[in-house]
Amino acid sequence: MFPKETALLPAIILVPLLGALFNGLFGKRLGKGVVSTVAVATPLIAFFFAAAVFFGLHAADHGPLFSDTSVLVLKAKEGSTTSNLARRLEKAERSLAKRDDLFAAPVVEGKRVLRLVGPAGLADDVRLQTVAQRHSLEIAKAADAAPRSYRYNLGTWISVGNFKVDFEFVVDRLSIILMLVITGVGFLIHLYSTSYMGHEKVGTYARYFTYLNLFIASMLVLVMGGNLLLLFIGWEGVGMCSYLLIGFEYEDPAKAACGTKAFVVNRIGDMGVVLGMFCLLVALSQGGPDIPLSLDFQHLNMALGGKAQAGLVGLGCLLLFFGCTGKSAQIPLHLWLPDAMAGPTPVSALIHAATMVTAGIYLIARMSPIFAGAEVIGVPVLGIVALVGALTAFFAGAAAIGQDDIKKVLAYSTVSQLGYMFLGVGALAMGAAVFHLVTHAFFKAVLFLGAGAVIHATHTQSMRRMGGLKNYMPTTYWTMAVGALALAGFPLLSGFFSKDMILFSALMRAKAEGAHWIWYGLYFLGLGTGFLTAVYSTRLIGMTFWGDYRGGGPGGRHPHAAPSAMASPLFVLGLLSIFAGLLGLPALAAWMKGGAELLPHYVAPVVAQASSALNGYPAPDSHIFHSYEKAGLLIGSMAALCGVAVGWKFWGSKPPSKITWESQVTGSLAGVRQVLANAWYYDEWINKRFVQPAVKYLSGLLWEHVDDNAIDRGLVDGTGRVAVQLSLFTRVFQTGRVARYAAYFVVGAVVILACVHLYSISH
Amino acid sequence: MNSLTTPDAIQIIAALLFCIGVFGVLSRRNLLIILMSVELMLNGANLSLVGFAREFAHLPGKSESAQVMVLMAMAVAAAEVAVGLSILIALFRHVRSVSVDHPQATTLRD
Repeated sequence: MFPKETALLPAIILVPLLGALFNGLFGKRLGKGVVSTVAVATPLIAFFFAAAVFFGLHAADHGPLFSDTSVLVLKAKEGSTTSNLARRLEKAERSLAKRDDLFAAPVVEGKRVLRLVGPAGLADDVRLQTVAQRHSLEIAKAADAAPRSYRYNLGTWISVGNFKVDFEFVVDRLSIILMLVITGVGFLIHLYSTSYMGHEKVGTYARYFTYLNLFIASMLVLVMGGNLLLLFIGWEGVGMCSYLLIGFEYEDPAKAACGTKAFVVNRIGDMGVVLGMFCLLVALSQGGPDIPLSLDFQHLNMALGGKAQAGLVGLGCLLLFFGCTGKSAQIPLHLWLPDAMAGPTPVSALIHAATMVTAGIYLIARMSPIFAGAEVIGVPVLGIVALVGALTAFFAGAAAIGQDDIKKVLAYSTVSQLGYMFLGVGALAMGAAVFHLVTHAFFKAVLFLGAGAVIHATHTQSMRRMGGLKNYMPTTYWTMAVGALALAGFPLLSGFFSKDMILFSALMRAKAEGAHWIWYGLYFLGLGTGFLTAVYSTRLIGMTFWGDYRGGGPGGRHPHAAPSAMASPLFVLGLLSIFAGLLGLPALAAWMKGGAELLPHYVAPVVAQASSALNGYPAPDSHIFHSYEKAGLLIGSMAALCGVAVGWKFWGSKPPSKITWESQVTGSLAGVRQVLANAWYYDEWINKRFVQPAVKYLSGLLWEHVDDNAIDRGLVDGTGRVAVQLSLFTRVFQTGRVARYAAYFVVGAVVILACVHLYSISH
Repeated sequence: MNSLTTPDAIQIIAALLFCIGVFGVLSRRNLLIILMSVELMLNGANLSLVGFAREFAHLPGKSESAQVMVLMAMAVAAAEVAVGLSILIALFRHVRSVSVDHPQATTLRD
């Protein structure tokens, strides 16, 4: 009864890992053809495996019910003799044991009940027996309602006292969605890269695909890891791949420095994750000596979640969120993502837009039962998450308007959209946040890949030297236009639905919190961001594709259309950007007559729910809920349309030529533009306030104390001094007189014997 | 049983023999005497071993191994004396002395 899907779990990770290993070791010798075949095939295979697991999960959810087993247990107890009963209980337990692969919660609970029922039944205590029976049936029914998942345990990793960490992969509804996005979008981007990197030398080419495959494997470890520590391996793995790929062209010191910056900023966040992990462990250990100290998500969520928690748990959650701000580029650690654009463009699409940067959202959604109740000095942690998310969304969205580098626009846009997701997560709308994560992965990937095609064609990243590309590369134009409209939240495209769902949940949260002004403020910040998003999306398309071509110059070549290996992923992702919104459209589910579940609802059972955590939350089918929903949709589309209109007015109707560009913005607007182009001067501020003093202090410390005193005087001179002193002392004993040597020998023997004797009598 | 052959007495005699040997090694200058003293130490240890072998004769296997070890030590000691004496003769021919304090003997440390 061991489902074959379970065996696929390690294979899903192993396939890209082996691909990386193969390309890393032999790629250089085997040539580009072999390298690209292996590199493109591995994420595709992983995608098919993940799809098989997805359908397996779906079948398991609609397969035999847990209560069947429970009924078996109950039947075993009815009017049976004691020996008979024991035998049947054993049989029932065996049938339960076969279900170990499914999500443990119901099974573990069922086994507990069996243990409870077993002795009670044997004790012939009728009253206790009835209580236990009722209890077991209730749990069985609850277990039937819970969605299934797969577990695959590769063995124990760490076991110290009652602290235990397993090398265990878990796939449930949340992780399978991310796995499909990672492998699916990953495959398309690998395919695109074969053409984008095609002009590189074969060694560089192999290195690139090695890193990219390694990234896919690490990201899969991140989302499939069953405990916090295993997730952290993936977390660090993707950070390393990100570093390697940002500084991919390491001969250029500026690009290598960008990689270092991303790495260092991420390490600061990772410190938060580690400290948060410690806090949660200590909080667990305070529950008593019998509680197993496991970092398993399910264990953590069950032990610490579901109730209001201040103190260590709150602090731990806040620290974990600090880690998320590092990985997912939120204030205060968002400054690395725009610099990450130094990497090749497909990397920006895959790692710095679609997958890695969403790890923070995944982490909070994964641990949402704990986050939902966590508080720090009276402030709910999720409130902080929402506030940070909304502020980041707004400020980064504004900064995106001021950028002239096409990739920087998309980078700030990504920071802004991630802020949206954190707003959704903070408003306890995990499903909506994951929905936006998926749609964002599609439309941001198409935008980045399109930008890559544009850069490939024009050999510049500055939008001032583009323009008029509509006629040269129509495929890229249309797919990017769809992506930009989806990003802008243009009605009926994917971004519209997901963004609206997040804003709506913020509004609902405001309502539930007794119309707290902060939540209304967050809602309006989100709405404003929607407007800004539409403005910069239109600006991006306008400056790149409309008007006349401003690049080239005398004798310059005309830009060429994207080759087919680059165009086909654009097509697929463009289509997904249009239709992915249907995944969350209520009308679709009604049409499918319950056969399919909406993406946000699909995820809902495995994450914390707003309605269960809050009182005063409007019921999903109440009148007030629907009127708010309609109003929200209307206001959201208004904001998007206004933004598109403003963008059209400034950059669409009459695109600036190269000469008039600088004079276009004058007066007070020029100052605003300056601030936005420099992204609110945050980088400069951090540099002046934190980096430079730290560098100054640390270099002084290292030079004066570590290098001069410790290394030069202590280690180098010290070694010599110690040797001289030691030999001055020992030379006294080397006299050449045999009798004296013999005396030393005897004294030594006596001392050793005395020690042995003293030791033996003391023990 | 003769009082000299009680287990305690045997061990005391063995220890005395050993200590006399140690004293000889430490106090004498003549290499020949020192070698003889070393023999005394060896025999002290041997006596201790056979004493224990006798004391624990009722434990099968233990006493036999102790006696075998003593025989072994005797054989090794004989070989060692042969080598030691020949080195002594070689040294005597070289410096015309068997004193360990002889100025030319101390240069052997180099």
